[in-house]
Amino acid sequence: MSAREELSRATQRLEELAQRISDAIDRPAAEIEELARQAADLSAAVAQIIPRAIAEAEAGARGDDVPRIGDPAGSPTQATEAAETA
Amino acid sequence: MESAVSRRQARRQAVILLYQQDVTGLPVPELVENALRAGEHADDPFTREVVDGVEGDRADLDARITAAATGWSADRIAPLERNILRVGAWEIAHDHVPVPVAIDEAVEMAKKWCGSDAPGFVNGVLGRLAREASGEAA
Repeated sequence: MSAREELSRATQRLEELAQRISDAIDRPAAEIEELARQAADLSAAVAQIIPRAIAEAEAGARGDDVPRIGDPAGSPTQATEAAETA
Repeated sequence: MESAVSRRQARRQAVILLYQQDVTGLPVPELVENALRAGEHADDPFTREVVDGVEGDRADLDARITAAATGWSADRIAPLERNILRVGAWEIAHDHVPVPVAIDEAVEMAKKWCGSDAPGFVNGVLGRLAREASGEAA
């Protein structure tokens, strides 16, 4: 899995966890603490993936067939071509 | 103190730290420590100046970006583009570097890192902010 895909999935999971924590206002404290612990672990993981995803995108900008962070999955060369002709 | 990295590298690191902070909510000092452990020059004075400046002016920068990005509020812009724009907008607002340099650097990061629409979007927003800043100064 590319760093970009990892980042996309982890960011989505982080958003879902934030929503679950927000929705868990009436849940037991232990449950909320567990969600918060998961969110903290996932935040740390996302922070570590970001530099790899950036480096991956930069490799793409140098001409490798690697998608940019903002590109939709499944269209790996679209942004490279657009950037090169911009 | 002389910097060990180029301004371009230091600006790149600033955007990465601000992006990480934006997405994870982790405090910047913790992110800097992580980056240093990974061998990045995250404690460069230029990087710190940009990160601290953007953090301090974030609300004002976001208001300016929202006003300049027709139809897009800052919180709806993808986080990587948002932080490229914040750094560019901060550099323009504070005459940190010549305006064309601030815009070019931001557009180059958008070209390398973001989706195909991002460079034009970043160029448009920062161009508008630069024109407004020029008008304000006149």
